[in-house]
Amino acid sequence: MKKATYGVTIRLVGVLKITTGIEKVHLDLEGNDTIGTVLTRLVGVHPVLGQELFNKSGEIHKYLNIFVDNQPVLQENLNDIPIQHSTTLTLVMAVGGG
Amino acid sequence: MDNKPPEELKMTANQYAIVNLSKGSVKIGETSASIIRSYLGGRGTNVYYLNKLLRKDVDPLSPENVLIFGSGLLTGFLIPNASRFNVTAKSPESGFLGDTNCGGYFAPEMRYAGFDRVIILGKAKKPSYIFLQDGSVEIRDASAYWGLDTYDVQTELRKDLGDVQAAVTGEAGEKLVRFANIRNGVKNAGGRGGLGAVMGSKNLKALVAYGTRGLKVAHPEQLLELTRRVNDYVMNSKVISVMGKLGSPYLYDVSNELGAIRTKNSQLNAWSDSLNAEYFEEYAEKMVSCASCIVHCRHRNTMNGEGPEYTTIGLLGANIGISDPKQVIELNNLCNRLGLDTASAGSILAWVFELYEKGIVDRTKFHGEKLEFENFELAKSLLEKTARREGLGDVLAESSQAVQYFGPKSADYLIAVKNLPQSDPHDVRYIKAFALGIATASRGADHLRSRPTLEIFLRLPQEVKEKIYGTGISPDPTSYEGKEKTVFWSDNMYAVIDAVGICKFICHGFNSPHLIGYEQVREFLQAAVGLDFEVQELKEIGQRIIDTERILNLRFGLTRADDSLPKRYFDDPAPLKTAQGHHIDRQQFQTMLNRYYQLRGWNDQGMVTHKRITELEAIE
Repeated sequence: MKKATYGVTIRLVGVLKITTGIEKVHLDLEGNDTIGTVLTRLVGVHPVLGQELFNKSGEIHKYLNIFVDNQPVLQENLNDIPIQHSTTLTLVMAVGGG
Repeated sequence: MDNKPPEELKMTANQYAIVNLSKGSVKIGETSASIIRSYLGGRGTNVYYLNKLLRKDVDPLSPENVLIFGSGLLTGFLIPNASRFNVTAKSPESGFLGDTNCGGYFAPEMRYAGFDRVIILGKAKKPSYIFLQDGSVEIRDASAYWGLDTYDVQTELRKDLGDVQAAVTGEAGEKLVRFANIRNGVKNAGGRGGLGAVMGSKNLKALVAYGTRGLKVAHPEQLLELTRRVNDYVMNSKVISVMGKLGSPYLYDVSNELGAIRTKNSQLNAWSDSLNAEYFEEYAEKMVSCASCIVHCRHRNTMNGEGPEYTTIGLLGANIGISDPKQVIELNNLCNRLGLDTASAGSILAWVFELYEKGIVDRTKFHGEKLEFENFELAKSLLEKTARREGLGDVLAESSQAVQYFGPKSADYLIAVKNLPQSDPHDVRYIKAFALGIATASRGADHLRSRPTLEIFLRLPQEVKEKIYGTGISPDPTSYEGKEKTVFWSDNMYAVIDAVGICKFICHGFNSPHLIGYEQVREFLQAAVGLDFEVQELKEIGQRIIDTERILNLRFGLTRADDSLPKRYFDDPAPLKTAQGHHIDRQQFQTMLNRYYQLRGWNDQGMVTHKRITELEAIE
């Protein structure tokens, strides 16, 4: 059974972790938080993530894959997606190749 | 000082040599303008010649097989990442088209030596190598090099011949291991399909080149300006800067996070974080590159080798249950020395480990070996035995053909398509377009022929995907809707990039929605070789290459049933992470395959029309 945790845990995977040195961040949630607002506050705590997560227009990069408790987020507008306590948000730069 | 080359060293292009090893004869000719306009070079022109020269019922390891080394049309020019060549023959591993693409420094040297293409027939009476030097071709005695591994043979050739480049085969090729590869330098491999064994079957140890000729540039200033512009464009890409720092290993945890890392013969779909890219960094000495490369994607490791790449981390790591990066590097270096394709090696080991552990095959069939996953020493020992065809290694050396030895039930556990073990570590049960890609790729289960990589960009706006691939494509990677268009587009694009000799790592659609696509290829062809193409013509060349490969495969006996997937991908849902519960639905897969055939203009059995065959056969 999943242990109830207040707030949201954000995991950075792969290139994001390697280039920023940040692996895991815990943030408290505020009322009506969405994925978009959580990512904005994450950058407030770790400004180095700014250019990794947001483009010059202030939009979240389209090549950022986001998983909420292992489920992928396919929507573009992240301010429409509320986020719950105890959630783990995983951020992965989508890269292909082989 | 006059920098012009002397007349006898005048620059040449489009020249080929047909070397008959049985007769000891050499014939030099020139590829016609119409063939170049139809197929460009590299993979395209190779398959054109193979289709013309090869009888359909030939044993791939007999003297009648035709082995073709061909450089890309832009290879050797001052163009980013234009270093590549293809080797093409009937594959002894699959029995279908064998075609493998390789970087390094060999292909530019071959062109500077005066040859775009070498077509090898027959079988030498004794170990031999072919030496290309400034327009001349010699068949020479290779007795002194026979038995050497792929590193040592290149070292010895340089001691004897000077600063040459060589495409060689190792002990595995000499022993006719069906997944023996062809190598240049420490790491560059023409890895797939066992074409190193075709070299071995012809008593051919190496193709060696030394050239002082240049390549005539049609519009030098235009090419310089264009190269600067494209270099800047490519280097500004996020993925390219990452690749220059970390190489392809950064892909491991992207796939692992998704639940798409083939693990223990795809019984599982995720593995240890200990194989993440950062854990290989402590063994990295520096990053190195191929000729004209601006990316530098490859590690020189501190254990006397280069790599491993993502593919090898997955297949000689997760797939056989190894979680120590140092052990993966050691297996990588061992395969490279012996001349074994790491993709097939890791796939075949995992396959027999499962056959043994589950008792699917009578244990007396394993030559007294006790097989298990997570056993580094066992894996190392089996790779050495395979390269030398000793004990169970003699069976493993047969690759997927070992189904005949283990029995038909064993085929249900083999992760292969068209008899070719899957090339990359990506479990395709989640992303349906990837599944169609490996099912229809012309050389078998392979991501480098047709992978629509952008499907892994889960939030890429639909309009971006549709601008590239066409309309009607679901943004959901687990949907089958419209995904045939992504494979069709990728097939054609990658065929063209292989034909001009540019690395796929900077190819539009392979690593990124940006990078070098048809428009840049068009500009480079105009500036470098003075050939004017419309973008639409280049797209048609891609289709022509795919159709010619299909015609050849149909002659080898391919049917619709061969455009399929490993049984496990249909029947066993992935057990872990995001991909949990996902598998390939047979009915929806077949419907998607129908749509793919329609896009290609093939009939419902995947046959190319007589009209198209006649049209392509008329090209001279």
